[in-house]
Amino acid sequence: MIGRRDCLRIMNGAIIAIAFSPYDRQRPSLQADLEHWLRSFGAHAIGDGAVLRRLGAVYITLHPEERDMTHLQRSLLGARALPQMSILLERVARDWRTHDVASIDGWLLARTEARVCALLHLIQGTAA
Amino acid sequence: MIEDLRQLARGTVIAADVCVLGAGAAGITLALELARSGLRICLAEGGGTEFEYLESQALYQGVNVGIPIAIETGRLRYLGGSTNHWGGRCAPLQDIDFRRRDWIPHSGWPLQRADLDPYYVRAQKVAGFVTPWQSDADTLAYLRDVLPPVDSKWLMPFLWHYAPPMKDAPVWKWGNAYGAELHDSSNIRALLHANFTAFSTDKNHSRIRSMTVASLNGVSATIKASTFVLCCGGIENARLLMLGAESNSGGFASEGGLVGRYFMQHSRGPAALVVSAERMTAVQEQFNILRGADGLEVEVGLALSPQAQESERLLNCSGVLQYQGDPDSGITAAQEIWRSLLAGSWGPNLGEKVGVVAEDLSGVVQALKHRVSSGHSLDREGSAVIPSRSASLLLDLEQAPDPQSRITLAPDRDALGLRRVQADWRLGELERRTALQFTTHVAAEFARLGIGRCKLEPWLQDSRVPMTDSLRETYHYIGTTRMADTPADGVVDSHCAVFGMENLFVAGSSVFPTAGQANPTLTIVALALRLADFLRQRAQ
Repeated sequence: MIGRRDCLRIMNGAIIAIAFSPYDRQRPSLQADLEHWLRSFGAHAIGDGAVLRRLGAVYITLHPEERDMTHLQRSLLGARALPQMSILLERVARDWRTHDVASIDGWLLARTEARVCALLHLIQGTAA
Repeated sequence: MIEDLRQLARGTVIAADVCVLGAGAAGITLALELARSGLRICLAEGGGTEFEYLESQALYQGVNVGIPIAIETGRLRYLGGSTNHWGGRCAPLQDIDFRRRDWIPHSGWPLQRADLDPYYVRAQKVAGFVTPWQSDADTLAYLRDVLPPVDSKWLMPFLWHYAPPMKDAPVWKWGNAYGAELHDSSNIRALLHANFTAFSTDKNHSRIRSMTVASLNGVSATIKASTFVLCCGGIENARLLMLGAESNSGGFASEGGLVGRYFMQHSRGPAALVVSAERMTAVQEQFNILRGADGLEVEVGLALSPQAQESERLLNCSGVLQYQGDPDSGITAAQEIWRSLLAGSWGPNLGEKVGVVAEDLSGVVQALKHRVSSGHSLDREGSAVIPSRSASLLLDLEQAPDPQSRITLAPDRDALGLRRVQADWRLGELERRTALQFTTHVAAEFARLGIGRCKLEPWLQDSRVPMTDSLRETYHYIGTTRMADTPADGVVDSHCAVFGMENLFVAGSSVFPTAGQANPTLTIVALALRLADFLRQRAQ
């Protein structure tokens, strides 16, 4: 027979599982979407997803104040859980227009692109 | 007429209206212009009609104490001077290059670009162009229609024209082009193997009475003239003024202490790798060496806009793309085999390369067809469309005038007993910052326009990496007898007259106070033509 204490434990676990499951379901989707988006903007000329994530890691090292995944995600995606392509494209276009460029291992990336690479790196780290 | 000093009687005295020392682009242009107007010219050239090491070139040996330069081989000492290794690349300096830029100490010419405009048109003809080019405005309007729309806030398209080939040389060379006219002119007495040895001046050292020249076999001659013009290049002009001041105990603008200072060059080298996921075909039709309907070649690149130079406090800078063939393409393999054969060997990995050609035979045929239709040969580097996903961004970088970057006299002496030259070439951090900003702007525009993505070369990633790891000298020796309004700021005035001297002038890139980013030859010729007009009027 299940006691009151065990019952509370099960309920807590269920609540936690329900609370985090949307994020867990989104994570691969978010990662794939971001990688797809980087590719569509031409960053794949630099390298594949692993290369871009490594550049993201270097960016975080150079800008430790941007290491916070939640903050980075919010600043890039707003309140949305998934990236809205048109907003990101407009941001990158604006970065290129204003020449707001980040130099990472010699590669010159739009500031927004560099942050997306950083977010990819952090998501990967969380998944691991 | 052309004579060889070695065959003249010892102690010959030659009388002329104007003595021109040095038969390169400036000296030949000046001598012919003045002779055509009836003045008697003595043109003294240290070398012969061909390259000779011991008889002439060895006199250019010197000492490096700064960034090493090719003191002995960067300039050539025979008829035609350094045009004998000229690539033929012509472009005028830009308006901003003549201005005093408050962010660049010692910048500013006593001339404006408009003062040189009519001479630039004449200079094109002297450099072998049959018809003058369009004006800058027309050219830029044309380029804006055919090039990707780079943002003019940062960058501008830039065009170099290549001097046409000659029957006996791949590009225009002054010695080949004008040797016959020098030979036939009754007003010119051109002396070969005639090396400067001394000036004779009046008591005040303000007027040159005569100049002595000598050959290495011991024949000397005296040239008496009303006017003397030094046309010996950016290093030697300064050396001759210093030698003149030393042997005459003054004069030759030595009072200002500026002779030999502000030694500059354009630096050239890779700044970034440009990569694209797709083959860079369209961009090769835009940024490349292109052949026009008249058969002449023009090179299209990008330069830092005057607006960006001003707002970011930068030097001038330009860049062109040098495409790298895809290693898996047949035409690249064929090109490598061809170059190896030209060099007299089969080259490495021949079997593998033949295999690549065989696998991509249709690509090879297509590329060859394109080359034939566009007039490009297989061995021309960087000019034809090739299967390529990457390119090197090559910079031409202006150098800031620095009084510590200088030419002086070395203690040891040459075969004529004259002190050799010592070069202390220096580059500063403004050059690196300019290169970095220019490359960043190119990277942003190329990404914005979908052309490709850029990776900086190590010297632009890390300021501890020496610039000279990537940049090389261009043999454009500039600035050592700079032009200025006053003797406190320069060595010659706006008419190229040496301050404090009544009858001594200097022609060539040594008079440029700043270098811009454009190759200097066209400006050297334009200034020589302007000086010819001035001396002609003065003689009347």
